[in-house]
Parts: sequence; C-alpha cells; structure tokens
Amino acid sequence: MDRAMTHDEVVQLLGAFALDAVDGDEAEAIREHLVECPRCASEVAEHWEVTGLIANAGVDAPPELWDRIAARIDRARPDPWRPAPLNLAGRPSAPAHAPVAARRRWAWSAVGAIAAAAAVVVVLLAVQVGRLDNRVGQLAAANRQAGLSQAVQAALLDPGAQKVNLAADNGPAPGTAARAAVVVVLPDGSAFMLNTGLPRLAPDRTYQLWGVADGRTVSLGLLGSQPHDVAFRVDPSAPIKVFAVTDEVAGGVVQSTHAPVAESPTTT
Amino acid sequence: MPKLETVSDAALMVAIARMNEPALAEAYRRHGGAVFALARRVLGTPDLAEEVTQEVFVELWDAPERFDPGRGALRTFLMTKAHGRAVDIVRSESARKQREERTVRETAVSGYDIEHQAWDLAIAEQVKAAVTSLPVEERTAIEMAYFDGHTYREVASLLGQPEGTVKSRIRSGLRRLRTALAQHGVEAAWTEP
Repeated sequence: MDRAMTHDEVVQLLGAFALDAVDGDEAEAIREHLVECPRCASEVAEHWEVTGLIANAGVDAPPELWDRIAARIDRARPDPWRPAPLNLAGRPSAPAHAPVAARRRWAWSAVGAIAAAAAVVVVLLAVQVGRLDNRVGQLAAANRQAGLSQAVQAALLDPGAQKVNLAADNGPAPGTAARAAVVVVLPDGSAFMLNTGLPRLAPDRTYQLWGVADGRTVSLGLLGSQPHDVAFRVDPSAPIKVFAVTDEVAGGVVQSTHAPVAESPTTT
Repeated sequence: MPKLETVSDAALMVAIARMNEPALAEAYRRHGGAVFALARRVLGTPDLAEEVTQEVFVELWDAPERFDPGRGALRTFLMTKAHGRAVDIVRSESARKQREERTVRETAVSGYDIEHQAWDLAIAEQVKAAVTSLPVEERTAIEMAYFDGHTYREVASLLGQPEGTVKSRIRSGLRRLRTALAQHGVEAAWTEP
C-alpha cells in the first residue's frame, strides 16, 4: 500500500481485518489507522469478541500439551524478582558510595560509549530488568481494574509512607517547575505513582519510571501514554534515592537514552 | 490468593505476571482447548495446532503485559493471537497450494458448517442460534475467511463474487452476529467464572 487509507476505506475492511483476512500491506495501513481512530479500534475489538465466541469448540485442553508448554516456560523463565539494578554509569562494579554527582549521572548516554565487556553485562541485566518491568506494567494494568485508587488512597494515609514529588524537567526555571507526579512508597516496598501533570503522549509512546538505588539505575515500570495511578514495587532493602520519568517508545526500553521529563530531587 | 479454579481471569493474569506457574496452568485449562481447536480448524493438522497453542501460552507467560484487561476478555485475546499465528502458517507459500486444493475439495463435499465449531458449554445453543440466523452469504464468507484462513480477496475469487461484496458481507455478518449474541445474553466475558 503506497498511501495511507482513508477512514472510509478502513471501515469497509474492519471485518476482514478482524478475521486476519486482509493482505499484509492492508493490515499495516489499518493498524496505523487504529492507533489514531478509537471508533475503528473499538469496532475491531467488538469483532474479535464475536470471533472468539464462534470459534469456541468445546474440547478440553490436551493435557499432554501442557507438559510441553511447562517444559518450554521453565527454560524461558527469568530469575525470580530481584532488583537486578542497572549500573547507571555502565560500570557494574561502581563503588557503592559514589558521590552524589555521580549517582545523579543517569545512564541516558548510549551503550556504545561503554567498554565492550561492561556493555555485555549491562545488557544482560537490562534484558532481565526489562522483562520484569513489563510484568510490573501488567500488574499495574490489572490493578487499575481492581480499584487501584482505593489502594492509593490508603497508601497516602499511611503514616509510614514516603512521598516524593517529581518536578517537570521542562519547567520555566529551576525550582519553579510544576509538580508532574507524586510517588508514594510504603515500608513493605509497595509503591504508587500518581500523575499530577504529565501530559498525554501519542499512543505509540509510553512514560517509563526509573529509580536510582545504590548508585544504579533501575527501571520501575511502564506507565502508559496517559498514566493515572500506577502501582509498582521497590526493594525495601535498597531505598530509591531518585525517581525519574522518561518518554519512550511504547513497550519501553531497557536503558533510556532520553533526558527525564520529570525527576525528583535526591533524597537522603 | 484464593483457589485458582475460582479466581477471575484478571486475577490469574496478575499471578502469571508474578511468574506463578499454576496460574498459567489454570489459564491453559480454561482456554487451551478452545485455542487448540481453533488452530486445528484453521491449520487442518493437530501437529501444527499444538505448536501454535504452545506459542500462544508461552508468549502469555513471557509477555503478560500484552494482554490489556481493559480491551476485552482473556479468551478473546488468546483466540486472536492463535488465529493470527495459524493464518501466518497457513498462508506460507508451501501451504497455499495444498490449502486451495483442500478448500475446493471440502466445498464440493460438504460445504461449511460454522455451527459445528460452536458448542462450548452453556452458550452453545445461543451461539448456534445466532450463527444460523445469519444470511448464508455472510456466513459462508466469514467461515472461509476465519476458519480456512483465506483473505477476503481469495474468498471473492473462490466464490466468483466482487471483493467489495465479500468484505461488506464479512463486516455486516460480524455485526449481525454480535447483535444476535447480545440478544441472547452472550458476552465474551462469560469465560470468567
């Protein structure tokens, strides 16, 4: 397809698209349209509900197939949750008590600048962290369904909660930047971010939350393009000193190359 | 967590995101049969259908965030994934010729029979009623596209009908089905226990 399809052309194909019955170039053009057109996206979702129903053949799941799935996920399974923090400067052996200035030096620079051996280690860690991030993002999505705002309210009232303001980094002048978000961390490691001023992003972008603990950068989760209240977890034994939010491509990144759009002051 | 057999799909997904393997097993118990049956219907062979089913559930484990509970039921998500993957396989060049021959043969022998694909538990009768209420042209176009993995262009060619007619029949048939299912009180969310 050499040109974008018009809305009317897309609408005519929505049924066929939902059945995976369009050609590849048409599918690509329709997907692009769906990102911008909630009405068409909603119609496709409705078609999918219908196809999911008519395709339901009432057979039991083959038990022997589960054994094969279980075998595959065992191999694919990442290590259980641990902070696995990234070294913010790309040096896995950075001193634990790095000066504040060094700790604030985020790993926004490209991996290419890092010595090859160190880069391998960082990338391996980053992949793991990335996978866990995605899971945290999923948890946040599920929690939204289950009355997350009640949990946030409870957290805000918790006397042990640590509250951190994140200021927009594009504010008019240092010290006057608007509060973009608030992070609430409870003593057990459960944490929430409340969006108080992050603008909506394009649908193919996402906010990503980062923390620095022990001088190392940890991705704390994906926030979506229009975050409201988001739940995540931190390791209570490694307190986060700095929180930051970046604007990334949807799906997130394992290591950001962007300057934060919002950032907290260093806490002590 | 309460017993896995009694929790909602959304709660299962939270557990899967926390790498709880029994939760994935429960998701497979609930939806694996439907996923496998759809893949087998499209692919025509159990071997490839098993492969697709494995891929769908391994992906659910590896990337649970791709399921957005705000966008629909887990069953719908899994079926959509399985169908897309099955169609990719069936459209590979080596499979194409064989499939066209099979389609012609099946058309000659028995025609299509969508209601035999829809007998899942309590909703079987309602879905069957909705499907049989469709005009036969719409039903045939949907069946050939969805269960045999043909593009709407291929369906048009096989039926000797204009492409525009086929794509509008598919769309209007799906909308009609949705209305009919809603009238019978059937929603995709029924899969939640």
